Amino acid sequence: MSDIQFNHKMAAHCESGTVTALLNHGGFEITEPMVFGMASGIFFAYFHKMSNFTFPTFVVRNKPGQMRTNIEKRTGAKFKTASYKDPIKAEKALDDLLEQNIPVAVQVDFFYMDYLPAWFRVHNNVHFITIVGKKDSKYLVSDCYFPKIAEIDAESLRKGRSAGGEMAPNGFLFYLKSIPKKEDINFEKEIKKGIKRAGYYMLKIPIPFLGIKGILKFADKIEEWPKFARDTEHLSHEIMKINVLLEDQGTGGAGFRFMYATFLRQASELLNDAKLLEMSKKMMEIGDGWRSISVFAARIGKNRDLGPERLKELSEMIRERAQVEKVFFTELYQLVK
Amino acid sequence: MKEKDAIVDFNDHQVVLYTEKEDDSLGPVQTGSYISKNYLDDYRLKHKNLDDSLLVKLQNNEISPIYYFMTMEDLTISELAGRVGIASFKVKSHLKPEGFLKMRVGTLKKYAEVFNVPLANMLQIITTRQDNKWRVHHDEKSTENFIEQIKTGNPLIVITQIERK
Repeated sequence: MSDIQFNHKMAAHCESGTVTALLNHGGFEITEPMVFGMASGIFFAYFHKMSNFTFPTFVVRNKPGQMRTNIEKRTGAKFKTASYKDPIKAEKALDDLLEQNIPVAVQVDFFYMDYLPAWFRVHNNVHFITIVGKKDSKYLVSDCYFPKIAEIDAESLRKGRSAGGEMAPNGFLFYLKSIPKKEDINFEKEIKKGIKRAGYYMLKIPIPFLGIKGILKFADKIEEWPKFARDTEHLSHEIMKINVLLEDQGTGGAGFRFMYATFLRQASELLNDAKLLEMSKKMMEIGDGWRSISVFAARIGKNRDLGPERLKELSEMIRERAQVEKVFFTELYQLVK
Repeated sequence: MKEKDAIVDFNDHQVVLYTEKEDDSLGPVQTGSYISKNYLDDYRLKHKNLDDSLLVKLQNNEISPIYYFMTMEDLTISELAGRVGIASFKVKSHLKPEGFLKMRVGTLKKYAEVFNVPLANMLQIITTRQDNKWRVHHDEKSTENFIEQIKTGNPLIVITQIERK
């Protein structure tokens, strides 16, 4: 039986929240926005047709796992990682670490986290939770999307950790190995590296559905969405999912743009940089624009007002986001080049 | 977004948003989900309509239980194949009633685990007289029920009807 005194709190996003919580637990004080920003979390990618998605979709963050690896590079903190295809070995490894009072982050399929309401759970293989104890046959879970420490039985956790499919968890776990001294970190250099990397991925990556190009692709392709839908209710569901993906799936609001604005604000205060403060305000406004898209998508979906004119209107709203973000990231990239 | 504009009173689904506070700082606020509070009923209606239409097709032997659960859980053929651990062409064949009939029980069990339902529920529809919202995940506890088995057009599918006294 373990006895980990873990300070659980909700967070904007599971990976940045989990990494932040483990760093804080280990004595390295840092905020979630700072982790997110330094790890270059902000991104956009549009997927029109992919074999693992039933419908066109988009993502608003970098590749799962990169927040952890990037924050290691930026700060010098070290996480120990391991993967176990065998669910029994995966469970034993977890139990052994808990016995040493080490809180452990695990990758799971969100669908099996049965402490969450059934209507909330979807198959998503890249959810991260922290296991902070074991009581009889139940594990104690600190999940960023749940208000308090939850309990999950061993079988459900096993299913979540051993799910197959795209980006399968494969029993992946990580825990904090060591932290650096804050005075050894050149925050100005590392923050700027984080910003530069994010700017590169938004502006310069030569793949037509990534970054700003991805937002434009989204704007172009959304008018084709009706042909992928079974019926009006299916289209309504997918249009309303735009709100979920931007606001509810764990972004801090507006597709991570509000959290990125907060990172820029915190960076401006840490570095006493007025330009970064200005960029923070601009990013907050950009986020407000995405929030308008979220609210619009929810409304037209609910009203089944999904004809060509309405989708064109939505397309124009998205296209405008691409334009403002291109200007923003170009300016931001120049600041740190 | 101002913090006061972000606050939503909905305890069943809480999220963390980053907002502008009254003192002009930026920081997190824990609040209810806007879309869940305002649109959850619509989501449930659409979910129920899809469920109802698929159950009719299932009982009419037009689709298999695999097709039903795959659609309800929003999985693609390749994603489901990866999770069950079999080839995509096999999943494709299992989506049709005639292909489903040729399946081994061991494979059916793997599907049931992916879908997170008891294997028996791959072969039955559970409903009540009051409404048809009773599903395997329904957590209503009752010890005084009538249970009736009703045959359908599909030789492998029965309806288990549960009714309170």
